[in-house]
Amino acid sequence: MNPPVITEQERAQKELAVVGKGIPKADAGVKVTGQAQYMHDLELPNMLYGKILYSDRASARIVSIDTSEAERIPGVKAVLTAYNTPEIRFGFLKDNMALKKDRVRQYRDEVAAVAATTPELAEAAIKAIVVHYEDLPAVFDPEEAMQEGAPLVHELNPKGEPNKDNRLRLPWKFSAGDVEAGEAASAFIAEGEYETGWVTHCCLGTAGCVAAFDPDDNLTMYSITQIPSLAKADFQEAMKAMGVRGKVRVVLTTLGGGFGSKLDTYAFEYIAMLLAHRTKKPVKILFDREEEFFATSPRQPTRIKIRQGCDAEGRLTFRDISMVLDNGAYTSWGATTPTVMMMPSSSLYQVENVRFRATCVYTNNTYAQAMRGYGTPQVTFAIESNLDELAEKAGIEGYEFRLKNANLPDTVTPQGFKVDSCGHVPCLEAVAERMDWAGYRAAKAARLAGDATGAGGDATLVESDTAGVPPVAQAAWTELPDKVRGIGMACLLHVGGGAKIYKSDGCGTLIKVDDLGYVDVYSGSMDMGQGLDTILRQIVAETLGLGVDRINVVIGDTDVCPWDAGAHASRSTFVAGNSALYAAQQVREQILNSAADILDTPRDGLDLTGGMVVCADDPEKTTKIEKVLRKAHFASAGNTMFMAAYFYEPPTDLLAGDFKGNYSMAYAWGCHGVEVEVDRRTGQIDIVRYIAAHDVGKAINPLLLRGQILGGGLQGIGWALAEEMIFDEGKLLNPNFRDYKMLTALDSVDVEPILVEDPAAAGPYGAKGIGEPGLVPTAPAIANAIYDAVGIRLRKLPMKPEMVLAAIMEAEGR
Amino acid sequence: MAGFEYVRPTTLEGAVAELSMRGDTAVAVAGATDLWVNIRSGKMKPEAVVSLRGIAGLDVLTPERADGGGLTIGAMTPHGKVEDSAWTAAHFPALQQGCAGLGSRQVRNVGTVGGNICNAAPCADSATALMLFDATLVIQGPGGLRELPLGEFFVGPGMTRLLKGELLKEIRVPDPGANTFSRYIKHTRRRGVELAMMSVGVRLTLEDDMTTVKAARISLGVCAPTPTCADRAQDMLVGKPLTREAVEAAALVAAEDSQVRDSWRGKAWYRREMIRVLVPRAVEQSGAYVAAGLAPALDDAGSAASSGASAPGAPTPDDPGASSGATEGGA
Repeated sequence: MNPPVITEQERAQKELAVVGKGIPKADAGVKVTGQAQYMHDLELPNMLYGKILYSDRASARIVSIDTSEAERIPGVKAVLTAYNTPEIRFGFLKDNMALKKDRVRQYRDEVAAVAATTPELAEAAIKAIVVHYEDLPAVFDPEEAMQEGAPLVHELNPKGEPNKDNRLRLPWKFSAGDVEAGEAASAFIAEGEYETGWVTHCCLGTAGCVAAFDPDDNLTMYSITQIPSLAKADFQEAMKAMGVRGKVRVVLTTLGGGFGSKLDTYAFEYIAMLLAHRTKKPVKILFDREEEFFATSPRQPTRIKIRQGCDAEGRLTFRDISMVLDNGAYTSWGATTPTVMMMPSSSLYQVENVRFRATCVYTNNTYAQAMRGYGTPQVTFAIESNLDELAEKAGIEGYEFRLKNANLPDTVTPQGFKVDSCGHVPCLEAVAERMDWAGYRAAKAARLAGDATGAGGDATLVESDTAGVPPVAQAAWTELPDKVRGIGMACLLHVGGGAKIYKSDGCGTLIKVDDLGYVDVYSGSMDMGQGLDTILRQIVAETLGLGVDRINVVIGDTDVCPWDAGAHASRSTFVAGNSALYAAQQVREQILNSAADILDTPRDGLDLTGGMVVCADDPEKTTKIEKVLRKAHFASAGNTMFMAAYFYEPPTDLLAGDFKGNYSMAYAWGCHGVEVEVDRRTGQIDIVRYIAAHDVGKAINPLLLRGQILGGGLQGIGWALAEEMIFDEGKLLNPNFRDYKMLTALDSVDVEPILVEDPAAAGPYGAKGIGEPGLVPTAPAIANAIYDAVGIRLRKLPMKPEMVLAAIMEAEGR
Repeated sequence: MAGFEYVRPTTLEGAVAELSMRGDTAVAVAGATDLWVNIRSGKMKPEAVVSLRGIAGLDVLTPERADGGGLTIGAMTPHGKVEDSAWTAAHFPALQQGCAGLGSRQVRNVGTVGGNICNAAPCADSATALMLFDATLVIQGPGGLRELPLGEFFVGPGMTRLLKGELLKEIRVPDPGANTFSRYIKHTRRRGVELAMMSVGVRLTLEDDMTTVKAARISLGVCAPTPTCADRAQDMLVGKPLTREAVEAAALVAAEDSQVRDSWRGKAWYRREMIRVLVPRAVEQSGAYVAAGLAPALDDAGSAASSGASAPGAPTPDDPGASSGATEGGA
């Protein structure tokens, strides 16, 4: 069924009552009063507490596991290992197992698990298990792991065939045009290598689940997944492996943050299933903070090589990107981030000749997963940093260079993206205007010219000559001020209208309306704090002419809610929003058709507004919606209740084969501008000003939207400057907030959002997705500003003061 | 978390008796901001915890005079109380800054100055700041009271000269005299909830000529196994006119003499370099240069005018306001 199309005219004709308003988040009240039920709050009768024993080494053969003492502890109801349970394989390549057999490949490997009547007994039982290991060679550097003779992390692939080396057989290659020809036509070429490490989501609510079987072996999994329907399928498959016939129901509690960390299922969930089935009691596994740090999967680390060229006028001629990704010991969504990195690689700025290659390599490190941006922050760091380097070589100021090459509406990119709405240029212009880009550049040029005079340098420097010229070139370092400022910008491209990376990118919605004018909306989507609950209320309320207080959104129960591909790819507002919109439009038609009969007036003159069925032809007939609903229900002739179902599948191309096609219904653009102050003596970076312009299509809820941009910006600034998971031969050294430097409230930067509204033709009320973009261009914008300030190019994240200072000292020759 | 007996004596003598009787099996607890973490993680497994919270008279901050003089700090005084003390900010700015930059406000509301000292962490902010003022510790033992200079108290990380059964009662800070300037800079990666990567305190007392240095202290956190003073560096300044060159020379010696080391939390070279950079900055921000006529007066925001540090026309973000204490925090 094709979605009904709302034309621009129709949209413009009607003044929006609810959409576009900054309505507080639906669950704000229960969250601030402590009534929200998190996994931590969930207790079931007779519930047991599960606990996992992890490997204490990175690579070893399991010689023996002695569980006898643990089993003797009163209150311990089950002690499981791979040797007394069915094998459950999971993950994108099915190379991971719930409990590890014969060997461990990373520190977080699950070796044994217990269920006991209290968490303390479970802890004691874990400590009573004795595992004997025999160390095996390990490899921690992905490029070393690619070498011939490197220790194999997996001797066999999941099919049981021998692996030749540690490279994953994944087809992450894309090319368009002719890179060699582009290179030959280049007047300037810039190349660089960029590196990003491990960072983690830092969900304030630690991960956990409760698995409960009924006597007929049906499983209810209380979960915090971002993918209820897909997790259900995963758990159902595990039931098969367990030889259990029942059906799976996934029920969500309130999530204490997601950010991509719950986009795949985890071993602990399968272990909870095994423990619950063995004990015939509900089993809860709840991570402590240390586990949250080391046993959930972080952002995909990358080493990226990039070359870009431009002609004499500054038009991009080619872009060539290759990268090595540290996959860790098992394969989850981290290994698929290249498919999304292809997007900005091929299509951010207009460049015809593009090549992209990514190699994922097994190591004995922790395995990576999805995290806000899904690879695009990493590759955008390389693209946008390198773009400034290229612009400098071409002698063109960075903003002007970007404008010259910016994406435009109604174009098709080399990857085949059909770009209709495109706010790239408006975002660039908005940042430049807000920061007085030209004025700043002119003032700095004048200052540098002044400094140069003072230092006996060239007093004839003009603006275009000094852009990006490091201050060290102008004066001896001892004569420079301790603190110097600079500005930088970086842009982004992200999917804004779903992303067909699964076979379906769809979402189902059921809507029912009761006699009193209250509406229940059952959506397959979910809320992890991003505000989907509120967005759906607004869309349905707008469509039915009701207040949001009449709309109840029901999410997070696979027994009740239709299928959905999950909360990822910034897709929920767009895809779940459209699904709800089209379902609501059906209900609206039902109500109006009934109203026409009941009020005995032509359908065309009727509208739903302000809780009323409004009759334009005969205002006397205007009546409350609920009166029409009751008449329709109880009339002997009608006996109608209003309900509708809609499954929205975006008509996009599945990303596969040559990776060409239109895999999103809309594309989100943005530009971040930042002013930094660099302390040349300590290497510390202060963000003086941070502007984030985003093409959001239409802001359905400007309040929540600003929250997304602020949150993304702060998370990105932390990624750029402070956050890192520090591993020593596979062991995480900083699994706590003392040593993992997530920014605090005191570090908050006043991110200034600019909302550019260029409506997406296919979006609900014109909206595009905005969940991830706020984070994407943070690091390169800051890196470019640091370069502008002190003339050093930082190519590795986080840009820690030591690194900054070491680079400055080297550049200044001290 | 293992169970333990919780003892709550109401006198210091009673607490000392409890600890003496129980020996190694008991620990004293003040604010519990470290102890609870260690017990929960299993690092400490005491059979008994002797709380000092029921003892009256230890949560005190007693200035000698309203207009100055020395200061007595009860061991159970929370950092937040020192942070909020306008008197301390006026007369012992570095001490107020040290206390105000520790942990989070929540931690400062319960964590005590005595606990911070007795924990003997190399990064202890209040201890490093107190080193500047020649503080003396008053210690209650089974046999009565004894006094010990703070500078002699620390033995190593987590190790002090406190004997079995002894408890810290109070810290006495003598009057540093007129013309005293001090500043504590905690160097961190972020601004809140942070341990120092290293820290620097300076205290200068000038003669009445407002030029000659009468007394100088440079204290360092995380630059040795314990909070330390840079003896050779500070002695270089005494009896001589205060100049920027002299301070920079002293900073270099302090850096050379330090026992900084490499760890994954921070590199030795960087810590050493920060001593060199931050000692002069601390002197600058203490106001001593202004008093000695070496710098223009502080502006309203409390910013020490430095040598043209910022872009022309742009406001300086540097805010060494006395209430913040964390202005050197990294981004």
